[in-house]
Amino acid sequence: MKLLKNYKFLLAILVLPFIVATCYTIEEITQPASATPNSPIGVTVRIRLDAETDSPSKLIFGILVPANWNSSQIASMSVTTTGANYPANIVTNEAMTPVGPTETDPAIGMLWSEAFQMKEGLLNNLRPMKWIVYKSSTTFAIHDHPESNPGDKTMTATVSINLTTGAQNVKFFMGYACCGSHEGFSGDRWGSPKGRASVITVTDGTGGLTDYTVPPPVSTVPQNFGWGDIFSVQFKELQSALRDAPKIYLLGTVTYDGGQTKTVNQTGAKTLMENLGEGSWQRYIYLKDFFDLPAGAVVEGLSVYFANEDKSITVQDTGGEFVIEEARE
Amino acid sequence: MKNFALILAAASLLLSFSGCKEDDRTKMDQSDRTDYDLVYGLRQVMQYDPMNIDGINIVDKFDFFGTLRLTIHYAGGKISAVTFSNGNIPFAPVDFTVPTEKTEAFLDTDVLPNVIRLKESGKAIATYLRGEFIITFRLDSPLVSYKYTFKSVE
Repeated sequence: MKLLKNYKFLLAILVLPFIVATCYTIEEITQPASATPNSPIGVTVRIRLDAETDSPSKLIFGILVPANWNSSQIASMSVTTTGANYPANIVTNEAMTPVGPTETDPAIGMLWSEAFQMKEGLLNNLRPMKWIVYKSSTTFAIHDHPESNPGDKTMTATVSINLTTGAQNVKFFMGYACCGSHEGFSGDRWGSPKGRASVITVTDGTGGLTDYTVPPPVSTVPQNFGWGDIFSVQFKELQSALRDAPKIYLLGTVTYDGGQTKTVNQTGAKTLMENLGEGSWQRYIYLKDFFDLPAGAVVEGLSVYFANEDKSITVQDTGGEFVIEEARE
Repeated sequence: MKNFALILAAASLLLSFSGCKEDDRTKMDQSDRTDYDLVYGLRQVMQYDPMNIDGINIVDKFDFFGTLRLTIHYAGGKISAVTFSNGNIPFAPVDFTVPTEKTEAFLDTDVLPNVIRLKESGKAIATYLRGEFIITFRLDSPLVSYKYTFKSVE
């Protein structure tokens, strides 16, 4: 009997983290699978809030979009609750607001957007993305024992988002994740990512389709950086005409100061890429140094291509040089 | 046999200690001299971003990192001045102009971790942390940060 009690105790300990971790569960996403550029779309995300602590919290909600999308593309976000009995928990179309620029996750102390990036990641997207984070104004009271504490034991919150798509043709996993303002992404309570994502394809826009759901032949490390940062351009040559080249060189064009351009098109030590193995090559660059730009130059764009030593073989994107995009935040 | 194993273990331990290149690090001088200069170069340049929170060492990716020199001048056993040469690095790790000539400085022990401050301006030029001098900075994106760690080059 004692053994059985111990067993139950152990089981409770094992199950508790799971229960705790499921306090905010995204149950359903209603999102269009396709859209046209610069057009409004509506998304609803239904979230179940379950009791697990007695810490009233605002709802913190993040949406994952391409890094070159602007925060202002989120036209509005609101929350409506259902299944709540406690009067203060009942809200209808309550406007949510962006978290403040200095507001941080209480558990790990990072800005909310960084905390979402760290804990939820890119949700299978393979190009630069960013989290835009909103919060409710209502502090929802969710309690294990609502009979003795003001609040509800469980309820549903439906977040409605109105946003405008970007100008470019793009396919990506639009992601959603949430947590409470009081506990945040508490390390003890938060295990693997709990965000969910749904593919959306924006077509009939500018340029070719940029597909975030498949590995890009060209990428950067860090994924998010400013033109004034050091970054590496990485190139996967497995499927390219350069797959047998013993050396690969990074060449390209920078645009700066109102449309002026400067080109690096010589193969040599300065442009030689580092072989990372398995068909991957990289070259770290600092733009002002790589392109020998004047001090104070303001970089506006970068495009690159790859070549073997005598430039008899070059690899470019379908419409010209590969465009590298700045993503500072 | 047991004795042999013990001797072997002791010998291995000694060898492992001899492999630690203390002189490569930025320990302050431990000798009896009180007036001297120590010249440092970059041992590591770490780049951090949200996807690489442990950082990537990029010191070997650019030749220009090998040209930076930080000289710390000691008088009476205390830091009295610094000479900073950014070499060929096309950016600066601090947001103020550091005089390239020998400039009076001191180790500010009123803050933790301790920092080397320029005497005249009070600006911090480097931090002394866990036995090493470091400089942390950003260049552009608020998500990307850098950390210089120094080694003695003399």
